[in-house]
Amino acid sequence: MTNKKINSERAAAGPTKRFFIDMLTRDIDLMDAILDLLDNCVDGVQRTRKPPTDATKPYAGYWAKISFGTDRFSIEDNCGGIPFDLARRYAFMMGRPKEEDEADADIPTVGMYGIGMKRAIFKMGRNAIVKSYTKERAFSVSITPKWMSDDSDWELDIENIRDSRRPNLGTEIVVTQLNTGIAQRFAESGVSSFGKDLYNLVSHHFSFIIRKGFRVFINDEEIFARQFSLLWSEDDRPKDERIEPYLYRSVKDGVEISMAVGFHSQMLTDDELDEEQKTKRSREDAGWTIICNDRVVVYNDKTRLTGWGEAGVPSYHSQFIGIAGVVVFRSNDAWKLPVTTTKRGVDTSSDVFLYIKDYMRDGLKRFTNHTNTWKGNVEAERQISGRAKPVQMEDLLFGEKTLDWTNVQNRIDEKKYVPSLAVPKEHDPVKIIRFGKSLSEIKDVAYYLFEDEDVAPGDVGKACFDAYLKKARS
Amino acid sequence: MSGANVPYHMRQNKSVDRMLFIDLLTRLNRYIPIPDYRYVSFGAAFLEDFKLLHSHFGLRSMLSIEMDEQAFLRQTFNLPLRCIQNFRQKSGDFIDRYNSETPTIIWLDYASAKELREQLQEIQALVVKLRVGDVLKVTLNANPEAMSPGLHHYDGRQETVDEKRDRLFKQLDTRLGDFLPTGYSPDDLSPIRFPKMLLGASRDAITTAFDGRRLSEGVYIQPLLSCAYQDGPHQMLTFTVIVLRDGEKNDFLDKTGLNNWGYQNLDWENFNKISVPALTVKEKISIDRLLPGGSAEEILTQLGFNFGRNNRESVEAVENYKKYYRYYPNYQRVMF
Ligand SMILES: Nc1ncnc2c1ncn2[C@@H]1O[C@H](COP(=O)(O)OP(=O)(O)O)[C@@H](O)[C@H]1O
Ligand SMILES: [Mg+2]
Repeated sequence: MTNKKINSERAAAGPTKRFFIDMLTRDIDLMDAILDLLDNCVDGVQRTRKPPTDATKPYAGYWAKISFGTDRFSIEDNCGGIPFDLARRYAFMMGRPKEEDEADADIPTVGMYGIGMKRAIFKMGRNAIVKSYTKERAFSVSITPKWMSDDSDWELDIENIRDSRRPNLGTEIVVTQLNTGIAQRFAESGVSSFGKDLYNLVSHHFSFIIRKGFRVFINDEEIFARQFSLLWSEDDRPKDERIEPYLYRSVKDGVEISMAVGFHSQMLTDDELDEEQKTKRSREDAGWTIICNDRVVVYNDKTRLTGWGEAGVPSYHSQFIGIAGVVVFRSNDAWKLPVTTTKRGVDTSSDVFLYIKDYMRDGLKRFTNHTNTWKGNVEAERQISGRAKPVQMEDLLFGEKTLDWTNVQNRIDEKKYVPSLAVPKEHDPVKIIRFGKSLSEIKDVAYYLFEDEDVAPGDVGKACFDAYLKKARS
Repeated sequence: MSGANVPYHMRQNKSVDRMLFIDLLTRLNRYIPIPDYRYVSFGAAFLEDFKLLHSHFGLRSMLSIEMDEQAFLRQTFNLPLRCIQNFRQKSGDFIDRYNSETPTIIWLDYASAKELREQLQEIQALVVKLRVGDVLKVTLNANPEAMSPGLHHYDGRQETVDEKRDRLFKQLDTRLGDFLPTGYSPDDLSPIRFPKMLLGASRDAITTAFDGRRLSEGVYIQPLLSCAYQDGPHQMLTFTVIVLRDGEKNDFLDKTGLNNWGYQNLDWENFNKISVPALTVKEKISIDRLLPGGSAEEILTQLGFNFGRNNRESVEAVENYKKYYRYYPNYQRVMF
């Protein structure tokens, strides 16, 4: 590409810098671009191949620190650095040459296209320096405004860092001369919501990795991941008084798959349901989370994408707010994973995803049915589900607990666990009493009964009924 | 809106908060023409703030919103000035329909702790409609326990403070969802720390809602004054903000002199903690004679008794009074 002279008989077909700097960066959201940089840190950890001291915390000891302000963005990690050879061969190329797939062939990375780091830099600013401190050597690569506008220069100088007293082996990327729109978004918290939004995004998409020991800081604030757990009744509860998750595990075409779906929280009471419908929460722990090689690519999805509202499954509705599921795909060959290029979405045409979706819907349906069965009898259901204990995601997905698994079509490497779910007792069925009263009347009775006029209307009604039931039976 | 019938002009802390607000507006008046503003608030039965704003600045366009029927009738009966119009409306409906060409000062004086999420959503809906120069004041209930009052039990006994904070935090987490600011834990649900967390939630709600306008129009929300104060059994948090243009800040601070005011909170981090003791007239007069300048020790010696359970609490009370005494209300008995 260095030879730009155009032969009179041939059409120019090479790329321009603008294509990468202005065009390619349009399609990616700033936050996704930053997530790409974090992905690289995690890939770096994979590449160190150090066997972890604690198998449940393979990323323990590793961290990445992001800081930004109106004049500068930086990300620094202790994940081993970009190997010199990799830097020389392709780390700074736009796009990964096919033969380089071999390089990370036996580790479960998420990098595939060879564009993340460069795209993130171009998205943010006009000047950057990448410093890598590896076991072998320390070096830096500068990307200048001049280089960014020069269509004839497709190489970058690697400079040795002589004074390599840096205690951590890792990478540091600093971007300056920020693009105007970017600088504005990087304004301090209290003016810009960017820091908070990025915090939330990272805490969702890196939740699995953070739970496995990785630490991420944004402007010195550490990011915590939310828990994922599902309710599971203790072993001594009878079959018709149980709450359990639905589980599925298999290996398909080089991809390990594990799935769990169930109740992460109890059904809502009628009054809670009312409040929920009035003021929708912007964060709900309900829905499907999909994880590819530890990276969350879909977070709490409640749409057709994950099987809601299709093939017999009802559409998502607040009644189902307690239902959550997670699917984990794992492969040493990132190309086999059903992930989109931005790593925030699944590739819906992927065979492996289409296959698993049947089981996702199968699981979902059991729990939507359960809430329908118990609708109007929530109190009794909450007695049962209130006794169930939360079981953490790791145990759900990879736990060794002996269970009554069913092999799918007699295949040994594909099995599911079909849960026993509580059913209402039929000999004394529960009926719903429904009536409306004016707010002022409800408040009067609430004050009479509880000396608090803000008690939930449902509780006021129930207290009235209970009082009369006691009289009737005495 | 509980509190609608409480005579809050008797409450010294709330009164200090209100007088600080008036003082703030006096300073803003050097930069924006406060007398030309419209004032919107929940006036309740007493409409104290309406009277104050009218007497200080001569505002002529004033709207009071009240949703409760009886409180509304009482308010109508009490309307102290002809220029006050009152509407029977919920704040949410008012905000949905809000569309003002007139520069406006709005005070959303919320009382209920249970509706925090709805309140934050209303604030979000309102800020995106504000114009440059508009002033917004918000009051929120900052009493963590008010979210779910009453005795609670845990494993058959009364719960401990830690158990209570865990429970309240979970509740806040479900109720607030993404409004829950980052970096907080159940420990922050103590009465002392909670206002800061609420201020963080308000900051996040406001900046998130306003980010689109900030990036496209080059305007932003500037915090001005925040206060936490005890009001009877409740702790309240108030904050006041103004909409400014990017790059206008220095000029604004110069002209208003806010930098030298001593009570301003120009970020979302700090707030005034108002907890002045309730004083008899005689006490007030004796203390004031030593002010400004008198030390807490001097004052306490002069009085010869403690305000709190011990000397430390007394010193705190007097220090707080020293900071806010200029805004302390003067009560008089009035005979009609
Ligand atoms: N912080 C880092 N630590 C280790 N390796 C890194 C780091 N940043 C980038 N790299 C490596 O540099 C190469 C180029 O990164 P990138 O442009 O994101 O493409 P991709 O990850 O798709 O291959 C990748 O091999 C990546 O793993
Ligand atoms: Mg990458």
